Amino acid sequence: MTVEQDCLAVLAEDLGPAAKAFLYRVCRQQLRKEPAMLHKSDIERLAKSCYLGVKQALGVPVAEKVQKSLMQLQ
Amino acid sequence: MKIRRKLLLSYLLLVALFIAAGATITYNTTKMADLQTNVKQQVEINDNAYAYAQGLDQKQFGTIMYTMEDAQKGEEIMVSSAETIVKAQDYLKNALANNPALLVKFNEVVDLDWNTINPAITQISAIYSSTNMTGDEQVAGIWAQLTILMNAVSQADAKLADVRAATMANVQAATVASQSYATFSTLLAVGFIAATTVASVGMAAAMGNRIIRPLKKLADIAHKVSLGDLNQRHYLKENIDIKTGDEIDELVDAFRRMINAFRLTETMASEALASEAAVEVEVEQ
Repeated sequence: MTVEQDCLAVLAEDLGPAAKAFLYRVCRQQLRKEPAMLHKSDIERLAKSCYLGVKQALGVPVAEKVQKSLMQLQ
Repeated sequence: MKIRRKLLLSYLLLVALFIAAGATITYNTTKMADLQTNVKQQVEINDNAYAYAQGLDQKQFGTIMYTMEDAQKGEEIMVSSAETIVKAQDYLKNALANNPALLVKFNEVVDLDWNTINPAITQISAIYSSTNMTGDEQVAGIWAQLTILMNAVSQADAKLADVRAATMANVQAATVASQSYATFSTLLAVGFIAATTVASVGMAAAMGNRIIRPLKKLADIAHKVSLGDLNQRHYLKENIDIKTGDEIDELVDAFRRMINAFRLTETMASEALASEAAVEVEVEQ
């Protein structure tokens, strides 16, 4: 599995069908790269960006959970 | 535990109740059947003891008739009584084999019959047919033997009455025991019906609550979400955070995920609209 697929699987746990759109958005806007180009070294930044995005929409507990799950992919 | 397993467990609990009650009632019924067999045997012993006593009385009557009125008729009665006695004796010897106390008493009767009554009859017959004795001597001899015979028959009758009384006591005890088994079976059946009813209603209510309550809440939330109230995510977390460990949990998780997706999509759409508006403002300036 690629890093993108791993990230999508983790995000889908809490974000369901919105996971893909959210990942694409975060990657393009915050990391300035396509999700397919994600590397393991990007995961820490991605987790932080996801935390901020999810926190705004779904609150701190879900954001923390998502960040923690993403960090475990490292 | 999955819902199907919970339902199966409830069903098995009821089946176990059925089996326990059925086994107990079957055991009671078997005991009652045993008691009935025992009662039947005791009644037969009683009947045969009565027949034996009747036979002895017939034998005594036949002997008296033999000596006083009609020798031939007397002999016929004695033969008939012997048949009755032998038949009853055979039965009683077998039937009382497992009751030593009554067997001893009956053997005393048989001893009286063989060692006192029958010899007295033999003596009477010998005196009656003797040609060496005078009439007075014959009468005196016969009377003496008749007295011995009647005393022995009275003793035998008394002992047989004891045997019959003992069998009647056994019948009464067996009847009381049978009644207590029947009463217990009835109580058990009533108790089982009550317990099964309570268990069934209780389990149905518990299972219903565990399944229906979260589903009703989910239906309520789904209704509100369908009307655009995406804050139900919080409601879902606070109120439906029920860990039932079954398919309801999975449904709640899926529902929460779906509301999160709605909420996130809505936020992303709002942000997109805001950035488009900002671009338009910049373009206009």
